[in-house]
Parts: sequence; C-alpha cells; structure tokens
Amino acid sequence: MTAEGARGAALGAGLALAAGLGVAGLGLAGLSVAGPAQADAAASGRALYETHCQSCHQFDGGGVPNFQPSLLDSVLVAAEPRTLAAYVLQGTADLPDTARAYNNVMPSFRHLSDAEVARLLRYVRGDLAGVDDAEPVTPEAVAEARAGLD
Amino acid sequence: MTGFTRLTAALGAATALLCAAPALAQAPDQTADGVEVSVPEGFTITPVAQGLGCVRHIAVHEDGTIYGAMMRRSCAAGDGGLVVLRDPDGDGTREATFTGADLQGTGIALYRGRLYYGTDTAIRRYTLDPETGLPAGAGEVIVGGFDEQSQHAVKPIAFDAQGHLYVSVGAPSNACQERMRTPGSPGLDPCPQLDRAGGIWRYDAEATGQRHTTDRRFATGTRNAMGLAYHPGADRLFFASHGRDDLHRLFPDLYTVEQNAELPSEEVHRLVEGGDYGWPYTYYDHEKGRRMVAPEYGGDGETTAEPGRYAEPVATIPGHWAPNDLIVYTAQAFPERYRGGLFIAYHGSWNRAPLPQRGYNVVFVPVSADGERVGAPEVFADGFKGREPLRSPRNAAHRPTGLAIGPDGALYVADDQGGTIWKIAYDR
Ligand code: HEC
Repeated sequence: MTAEGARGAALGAGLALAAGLGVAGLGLAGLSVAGPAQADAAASGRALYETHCQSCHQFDGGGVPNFQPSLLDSVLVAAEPRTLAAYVLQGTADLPDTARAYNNVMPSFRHLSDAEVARLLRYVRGDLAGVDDAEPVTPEAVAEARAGLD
Repeated sequence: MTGFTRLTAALGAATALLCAAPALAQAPDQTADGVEVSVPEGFTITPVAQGLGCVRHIAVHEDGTIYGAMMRRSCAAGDGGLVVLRDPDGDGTREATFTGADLQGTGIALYRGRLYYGTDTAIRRYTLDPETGLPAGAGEVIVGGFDEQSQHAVKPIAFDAQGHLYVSVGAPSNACQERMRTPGSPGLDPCPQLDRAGGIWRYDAEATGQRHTTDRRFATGTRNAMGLAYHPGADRLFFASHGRDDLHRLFPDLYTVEQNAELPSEEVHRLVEGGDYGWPYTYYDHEKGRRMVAPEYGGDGETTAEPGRYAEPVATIPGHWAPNDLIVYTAQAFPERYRGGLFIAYHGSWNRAPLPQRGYNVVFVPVSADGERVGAPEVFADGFKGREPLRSPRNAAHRPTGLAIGPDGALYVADDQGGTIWKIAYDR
C-alpha cells in the first residue's frame, strides 16, 4: 500500500483497529438506549431529563469529573424548589468565565415551560437524587422562580 | 441504532485495509484494581506508580526521573502541583515526592536540562537540583499573561529544534455561540475568542518575561489542541485537538443522537505557520470524509466548508474520544514501523450519552521518518476503562492523559482517574 493510498483509504474509513481488539463488536446489550424524547407537553420527567440534561450530567445524574457536577449529592438539587428552579432556568452561561469552577457551562433553560421544569426537577430530585421530597417542585414554584429572575 | 451500525461497518472496512496490525497479547502486569491493559504482541505493560491523583502530562528525564503535572492540587495524592518520581537506590521502585505548592496545571516538558511547567495562566521554568531532582528555587516566568478562563484553560507545551516554545491555548467555549451551550444560538462572526485563544502560539523558548499577545499567534482554529509534539524528520509539530460537541442537543433538527455520538471527528494535524484548522466555523465529518460548515454558522449537516481554506487532517478519529496528549516516537527501542509515528492518548468521551462511552485508549498513527502518514490509525493500548460497556466516564477505572518516552525508549502513559503511570516496553 502506498502512503498516499493508505491516507486516502483510512481518512474515509475513520479509524482502523488492531486485530483482536473487539471494540467494534461491542453490542449495546444491557443498555436501555432511549431515543430522543419528545419535548412536548406530555413528556415525562425522565424523557425531559434525557433530552435536555443527560448529555452533560449523564444517565444517572452522576456528572463528569471537572466538567459537569453530580446532581446526586448536590445541596442545590435538595434545596427549596424555587432556588433549584431559578438555577436551572438561569444557568451559568451568562456569568463571567472566572466565576465558574467547571470546564463547561450550565445552559439556561428558560425556554422550557413551568410544567416541564417542574416535571423534570421532580424526576431529578426523586428518581435520580433520591431526595425525600417533602416539598415537591410544582409549576407554581417554577413560575415564582421565573418571575424573580427578571 | 443506525449510527452505531455505521461505525461498526466503517471500522470493519478500515480493519480490512490494515496491512500488518500486530495481534494483541494479554498484559503480564496489572494495576492494584486488577484492570488489565492490552498491548500488541511483543510489548509489555507495567504500572510504575499508582494512586498519584490527577496526574496529567508527564516528562521523563534522561536519568529516568518522571515529572508529572497535577491539574488540581486538591486531587493530588500529596501536597503540590508537581509530582517527581525517582528511584535513587536503583531498586526499580520509584518514590513519589509532591512539590510545587503554588502550581497546578497540565503542560510539562524538559528542555535543555530545565523543567517547564504550564499552569493555566503562565509557562514557568525551573532549574533542577542534580542531587534530588527537585526544582531549585522559585522558578521564572517564560510566558505570562494568559487569560483566566474556566473552559479549556490548560496550557500544553512543546519545543522545536530552533529554540521555539509552542503553547496551545484552548478556546473558552464549545462553539463560540452568542449564548453559550444554548440550543439554536448562532456563532459569533468573527469569533472574538480567536484573538487570544483557540490556537497555537509560538514564543522564544528561553527568554523570560514574555507576555501572551495576538501577534505571536502561529496558527488558529484549534478548539483545544491538547497533544502537540515536534517531529524532527518533518521539522514541524503534529497536534491532536478536541473537537466540539453537543450537536444534537443544540441542533436537534439537524443531528440525531447517534450522529451526536460519532461526530465531529477528533482531528490530527501537521502544524503550519498561519494555518487555520477550522474551529468554530467548521468541523470535520470522517463518515463523509469532508469538512462541514458548523450549524452555528449556517451549516445543516450537509454543507461542505469552503475548499482550500482550512487544513486537511492527517488522521481522523471518531467523536469525543478526547485526545489529551500526543508524542512522536523518536527513540529506537520499538520496532521499525513505530519510529517517527505518533502515539495519542485518548482520555475518553462523555458526550456520547446515551450511547456507551469510547476512547480511553492509546492510538498509534503510522508516520514515516520524514513526516508522511503511511498507514491507518490503530488502537495500541486498550482496556484502561476497566468495563464494557462504559456508560459514564465516572465509572472508568483509568483515563489516559499523558505520554512520554523514557531514556530506555519505553512509552510511559499517565492516567488522571486513579493516578497510574504505566511503562510500555518492547521485549521482542
Ligand atoms: C451543556 C452541559 C449541561 C447541560 C445540558 C445541563 N447542565 Fe446542569 N450543569 C452544567 C455545568 C457545567 C454545571 C456547573 C455550572 C457552574 O458551576 O458554573 C451544572 C450545574 C447544574 C446544577 C447545580 C449542581 C450543583 O450542585 O452545583 C444543577 C442542579 C443542574 N446543573 C441541573 C441541570 C438540569 C436539570 C439540566 C437539564 C434541564 C441540566 N443541568 C443540563 C452543565 C450542564
């Protein structure tokens, strides 16, 4: 194989694996791969989490070291509903870069409705973080948080 | 599902094209957690240090001492941003000393007998005490004045043969959007971040007190080129850069979850003066074999970038594998085919969720003595992640993040999740 030929071939094909490695043969066995969730009004809290949060905070809410914090042992996730909702609606992208401790930013989620944010955060608090939810996140609490932002 | 099938097919095709990929043998040694890393037949892999914390880039002195930069002092196993591993009594066991209470960073290199350390805002230099191997004195600033940034803040470094220091300055964002990480938000045009970041800068290797300035920009359009190294035969640097991410979440109408997992390519390049490597306006699609216009700049997943304007990659690797270091194999101990080639440490993905995470390996790219690529990239060392499938980076046992060549010609690999340094040697 010529150098030129090798380059052309491999560039198109991506990466060649050393024989016997078996990475390419990996199946998705044991994984529940949810398709892109419908972000419509009826979407469950879990579906909303998978659409809007999972890529960064991961399937289990555990986060990624240095990039995205864990939502599992988070004081903020366990905080009073309006405080948590305000954080998620606002995000940290508008803060000065030096004000952040992570190698990424938390987007603003103002484009989600009050009902969506409430359902999403009930899933995060209850199902993922296991917070004993004496005071569940309601659409009214999200609306109050939203009003407080502007 | 289709994206995954496509990758499998592409890998199969590429494997068939491979002329002589060596078979992999079981590693004889393993880390305390029992994780076995596989390397090609004829090679051995042995952990030489464990439990160091978040050790990042490493450098090996001609006397065998290993220097490692710690990204955060808080995650070091000892107190300090520099770990020095020595074997003073020659019994084969290296002892770790943590020092550099004022340091934290990723970039590290030895140049003309002195230690260079890249903190997030300055490149510092230290003379070394010949007795202890530790930095003597407070050191001095070679280049200072880099902006404080929370994203892609690390400062990897490399030297050429003409007395230049190269500093990779990562961009402080994913894609230079008007509103960062916000679905549908357009890209700033021109992207102002490129004035002082998102490129590779060249400074004098020895002059003290230099300040970071736009005038010294050597090449632009690298989002976060964490691996860079000088190739003596080509008389230029090669580098590997982290591509952007989040295509599906930001543009769900243009990219599927599966496309998000595989795209864009992680690119490997030859560094040329004045080169433009395409970020944030474009990205490379290895499935199409073309450079594409980024969706923030009017792209739709199908529109090809202006031909001839941006550099063509030397090699492309599937998305999000996260190249954290690159070295040129300049020693003689490995077989002929490895000499002049590139080793790249892939830290491993997080942005493939919900699909399993990939990377977490060391890849070899065959390159000739004069710097031409002569074969397809191949996975050289694998198994670091310790489980399959891996759903979250947090559950990986190890994440390769630094590479160096020892005086014995062995390849050293550092891991910042577990803090291991392995030595890969060729034993015939
Ligand atoms: C683009 C990546 C990304 C996405 C998507 C994302 N986050 Fe975050 N999130 C972050 C980052 C980064 C931080 C840390 C921000 C900082 O400190 O500046 C964070 C912080 C948080 C925190 C605070 C945690 C703590 O203890 O400090 C909460 C709560 C949170 N995110 C919830 C969510 C929810 C709910 C969603 C989905 C609606 C979401 N995030 C989507 C990146 C992301």
